[in-house]
Amino acid sequence: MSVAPAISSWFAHVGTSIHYRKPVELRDETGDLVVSASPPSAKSPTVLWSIQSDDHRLRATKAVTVHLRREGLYWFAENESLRVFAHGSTQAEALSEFQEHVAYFHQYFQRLTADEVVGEGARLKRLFADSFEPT
Amino acid sequence: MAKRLVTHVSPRSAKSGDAPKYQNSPLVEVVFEIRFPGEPAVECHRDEYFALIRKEFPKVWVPNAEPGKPISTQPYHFKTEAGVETVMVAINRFAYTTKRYEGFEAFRPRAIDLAQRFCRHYGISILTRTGLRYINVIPFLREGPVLPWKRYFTVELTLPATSADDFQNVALVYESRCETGAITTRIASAKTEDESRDVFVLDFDFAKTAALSAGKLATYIDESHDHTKRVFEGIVAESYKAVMRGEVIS
Repeated sequence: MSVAPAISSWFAHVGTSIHYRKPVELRDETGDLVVSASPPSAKSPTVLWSIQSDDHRLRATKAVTVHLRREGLYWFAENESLRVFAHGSTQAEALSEFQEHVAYFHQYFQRLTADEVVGEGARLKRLFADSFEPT
Repeated sequence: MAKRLVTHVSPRSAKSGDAPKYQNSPLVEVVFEIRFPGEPAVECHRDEYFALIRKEFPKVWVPNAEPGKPISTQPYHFKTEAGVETVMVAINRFAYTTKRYEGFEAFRPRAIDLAQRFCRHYGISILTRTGLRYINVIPFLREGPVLPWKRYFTVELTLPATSADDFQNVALVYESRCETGAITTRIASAKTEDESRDVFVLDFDFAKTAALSAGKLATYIDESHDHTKRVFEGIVAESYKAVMRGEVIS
């Protein structure tokens, strides 16, 4: 894992003299001989805080987890509760399609009346209505 | 001649309550380490401590010989079968680390027991340093090229008007002293090993270096944990705490 350097050496040019000022090293680290240089994979979920499609922007009342994975040549972006499954040839494409789907279904369920949905459809209608609001 | 050490793990004194257990904790690794003046017995009789723990830590990892570094300071690692937990022993340090942290109440007795058995076996009573380190890895999605900093952290980065504060990358390290020791906090944006995902690394390292005794490990680890917990709770933004509590659309 590459990490942007915390502190890099710098110098000040004063007349014809060049002064190098070394940064203060702060890093006597606990466990430096046992912790791997590259941290393990993240375990916590990746989230979206808002939904942005070509035509709409939605504010999420709660963070939306996006399960991102790569299989073969494609990236997949999914949310089980929302029943949204998207894919793309890049991660950005998959996320973009994911947001398009969420925005589409938000509008779709808004147009349906309560007696036009039952079971899972009713659940999704409630979930989309409660979870997102247009900005 | 080994001095008599405390051989039981003292119960934690009742305090204001441990941190809430987060359903979606970003914690990926926790390390408890002690350092002491070089003790050759550790290097020469390494097998004796291994014999005490081999049932739980059967896997032995040996160090590479690194040019310019004395071989005797390089540690052996003893790992559990699945590699989740590691005990590290070297001539002047001992560490216990786990990649599966199930709360301080579970970690504390395990770390203290392993360290106390080590100190007792080799007659180590004086310590030069103790350290408790929490490494968090938080995946995030960028909002355009900019880091969604305020969603995750309360740390305010105030720059002069001439510098833009829409950060694309950040690496921040600072060490703060307190009554019981010093805590180094690192917050950095980074990429996963395969360069495919953006993450924040949130790394807390609490160290004690003054007048330390192997008989007081429980006190040291408690003080280190309590301070780190307060710092963590203060640094993480409420919006991300909600994610950690599981208040998400998942």
